[in-house]
Amino acid sequence: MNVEIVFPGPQWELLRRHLFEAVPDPDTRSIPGAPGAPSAPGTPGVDEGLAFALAAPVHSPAGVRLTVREILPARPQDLEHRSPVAIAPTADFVAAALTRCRQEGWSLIEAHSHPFDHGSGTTFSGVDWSSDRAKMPRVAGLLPENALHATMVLGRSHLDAHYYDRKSASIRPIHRVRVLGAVGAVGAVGGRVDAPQLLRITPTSSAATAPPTAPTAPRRRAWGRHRQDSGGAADDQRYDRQIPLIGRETQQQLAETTVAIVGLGGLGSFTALECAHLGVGRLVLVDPDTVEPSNLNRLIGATEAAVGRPKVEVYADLVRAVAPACTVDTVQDSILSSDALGPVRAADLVLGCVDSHGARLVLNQLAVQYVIPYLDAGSGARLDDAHRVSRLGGQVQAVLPGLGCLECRGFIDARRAAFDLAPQHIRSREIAHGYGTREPAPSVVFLNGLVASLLVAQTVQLLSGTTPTAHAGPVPAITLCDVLTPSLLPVAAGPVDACPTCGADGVTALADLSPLHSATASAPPPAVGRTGIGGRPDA
Amino acid sequence: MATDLSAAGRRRSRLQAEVQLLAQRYRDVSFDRQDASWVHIGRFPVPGGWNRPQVEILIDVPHGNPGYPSVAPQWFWTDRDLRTSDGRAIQHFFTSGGSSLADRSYTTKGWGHFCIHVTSWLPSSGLRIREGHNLLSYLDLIAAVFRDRQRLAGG
Repeated sequence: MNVEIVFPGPQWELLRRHLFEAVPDPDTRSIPGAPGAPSAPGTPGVDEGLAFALAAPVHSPAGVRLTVREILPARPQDLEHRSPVAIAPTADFVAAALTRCRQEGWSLIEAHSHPFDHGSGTTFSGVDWSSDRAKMPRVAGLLPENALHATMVLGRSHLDAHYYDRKSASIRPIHRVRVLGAVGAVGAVGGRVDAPQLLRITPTSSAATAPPTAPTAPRRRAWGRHRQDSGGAADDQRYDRQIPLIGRETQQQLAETTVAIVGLGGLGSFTALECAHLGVGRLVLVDPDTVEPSNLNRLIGATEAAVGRPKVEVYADLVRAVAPACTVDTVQDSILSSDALGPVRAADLVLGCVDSHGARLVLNQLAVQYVIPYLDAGSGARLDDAHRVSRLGGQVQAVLPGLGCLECRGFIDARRAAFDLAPQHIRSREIAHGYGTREPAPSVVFLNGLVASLLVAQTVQLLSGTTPTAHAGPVPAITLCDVLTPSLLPVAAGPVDACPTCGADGVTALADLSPLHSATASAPPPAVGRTGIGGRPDA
Repeated sequence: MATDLSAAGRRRSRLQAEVQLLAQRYRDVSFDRQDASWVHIGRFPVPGGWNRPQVEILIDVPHGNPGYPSVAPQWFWTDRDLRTSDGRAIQHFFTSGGSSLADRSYTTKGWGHFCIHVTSWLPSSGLRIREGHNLLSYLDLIAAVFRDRQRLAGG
């Protein structure tokens, strides 16, 4: 089983700050001969720090992803002992964390620092291993059934992590740690400020030395372990012309990434084919519709023969024809169906190409709740009273921790989202009353191509951590594309603390602890004239 | 006490807080404690020009996930026999409901259905309810609908 840990940027920053900055260092002792890379001469050593992280487990055929919701820093009174080379929490601190896990369903990650370690091979010491062998089976046994117990060690520049596998009763490596979203200087994996990355992927030291784990399902690739049949995407001749632009590491990263594309209209069709050409390793295609004759003006690659076929099947065939090494999963259903939510919530990246505000709201919450980078694309045209094109353009928006989300940016149309997400009988009633109907929006292939290419370029930008072109910055929160001007305009956005979705009291990293689902017919209503049914405010 | 992290649990917690706010302004406020799918106002005052001084209001609370407050309430029910004081029919008010079993469960209990849609909705988190749109703002919209009797009654 492959396991990864995902930190939203703010939680990662809090953890790093606690482990490396907030630890009191009264003695400023040096640590000669400490395990790992030696401290630089003259650098004062500090005591180890410790924190627990509460994480929601996301189980999928590819493995388990632990999404970190909350950091519980150990204060001095929470520690049994602490020294420059060892640290242990009090029984009370452990018991309090375990109680939260049992009551609320969390997995428990214990993280401690090796502040003396500035090297790139940070790993568990002999003391750590002895301690983990003794306590991990016991702690894991006290967690909820689906929860995992993991421990992490963080050096100044690298990290290692492992978990206790209850089935095999053994300690197994965690394969990688991802940090998603904006972090400051302390949050950078290397403790540096120079990388404006919004996505950092760090393979653990143990994963580098562990034998490959067999996939748990046919044709499923493990997170971070996929290699294309040719022996590595970066060695494939077909990418010779793009590797100078995007880099060998990014090419390999693309091959190891699962991208979910939701919506296969004009935008999604371009996006799917561009991802195939680029070398994305696995695609999850989601769309409930079949191809109609009126789609053929903009579904790139689709022919007359596609009419009547499910869009997901048409594009699975096209993607396989372009890139036989790409694994394609298809879901011909709405994004709110359990068939779609399962694979999309396990993807590494979600690209939204939908024209429904309900679907946008769902994807927005899914991204925040499962800590998955989400890039949303939209295009549109407007005609004035004289039927001339007055507006033609689109936008790509990034939903990542620290950047805010579509909801707090005010991008969701409240009326349309409520209609899209209402139970079927309410939608039928609205339509019967003359509401909820819309004229098909104008759409043209070149506009979709422009916006989809921008979306795919930002996908590469996000995965590479740098930009494909020189001097470009990190992925903007919003990029507006105006075809009539023509121009591209990046727009900054930041977190809104009061946002009910991505704010402090929102759904970040709740994952499967708060499953997404459709609304159904509600409980029977009270009758008129019978006030007082249900809960009273003061009850 | 453990936090209920499920969508229904978080919505229940939010409604409990909002209903406290509503109760400061309206009488006989209650809500669905099981699914957090409706809020009921037993005595909602209506201005002159209608055939009664107060009505009951039943708000459908969006209860999927995502649901309320990310999804705005868009439909409300009120007394089916509500009319203007001169007996005229009201636009956007439907007393027969839809054809579904769910709709009939309302109409047979005396409810009529108002199609009034929210176009702007920016809610805040449960810790800062009053900083964004909430059920109080939605009830303000309902009050504005009743004040707009002339337009609703087509004259």
